[in-house]
Amino acid sequence: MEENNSSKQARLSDPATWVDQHGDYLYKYALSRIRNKAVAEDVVQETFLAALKARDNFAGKSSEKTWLVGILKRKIVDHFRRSGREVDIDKFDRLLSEPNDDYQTSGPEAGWWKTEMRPGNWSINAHDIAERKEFWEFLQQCLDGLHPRLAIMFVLREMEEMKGEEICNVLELTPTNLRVMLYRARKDLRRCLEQDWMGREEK
Amino acid sequence: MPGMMSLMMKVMSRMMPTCGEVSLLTSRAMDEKLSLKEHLGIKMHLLVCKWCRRYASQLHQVREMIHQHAPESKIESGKTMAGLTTAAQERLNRAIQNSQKDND
Repeated sequence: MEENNSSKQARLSDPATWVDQHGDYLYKYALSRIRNKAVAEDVVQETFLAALKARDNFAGKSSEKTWLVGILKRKIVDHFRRSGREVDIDKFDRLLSEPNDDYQTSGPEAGWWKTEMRPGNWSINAHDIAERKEFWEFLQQCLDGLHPRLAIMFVLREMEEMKGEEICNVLELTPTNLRVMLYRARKDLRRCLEQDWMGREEK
Repeated sequence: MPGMMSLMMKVMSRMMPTCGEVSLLTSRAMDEKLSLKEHLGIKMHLLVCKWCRRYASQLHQVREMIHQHAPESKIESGKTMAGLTTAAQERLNRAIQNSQKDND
């Protein structure tokens, strides 16, 4: 370690200060994706340990924080890849092939919204801080209510902003598969948000 | 010319995707570029269907809200989430110390 103390390394701060400096940020980042406190903490720990090992490779092109987040992002994907394997695939396939009950199945309006399933009117004020905070809580709850595999797809696409191709590579999916899953995830999530978040006053 | 009108309606409805198809196209359009035919199909459908317009706008609202409120966003900067507990901080610090000892 000592002889590697080049000018490159000087840019990284003492690892003993990492938890103080970056711990909360990394943890919140991980928790918002994984939604399990213990697992989020584990992933942050893995990140710090991997960062220690890779310290010599830090080129100083980005900030220490950005560099750590980059490692964290890879650890999050690794976690999803592992947990994605534990899913009962048959059950999942059955879920995806369920008929879509939002739309009429027969008659002249086949394929059009069933009256009672039409999207409701969302009255939100995007600038209201309290509503935003609430949105975040409901979003996390609704993601928990999704099939875990659908939640993973949604998080990788909408929070990690990965491209479809990358997600397919990482999780070994076909593009058709991914399309159906993202469709289903968005549809179920929208429904959940409408019922729980928008319907909160009536409850 | 009622004949002409009903013919046009027929052609329109033949080309026009159903709500079910539009919801799938709406989702796909958030991830990839649609073909011209698909794109026109959606456009045409949204012109006449208030519910699908609402559906699409809500999916985009959700995307927008996520970008604004994720803990890493500048607006929110994680205010809506609790950070590490003291115990967790201690655990992490110990893990880093131990790993450094092992490496030395």
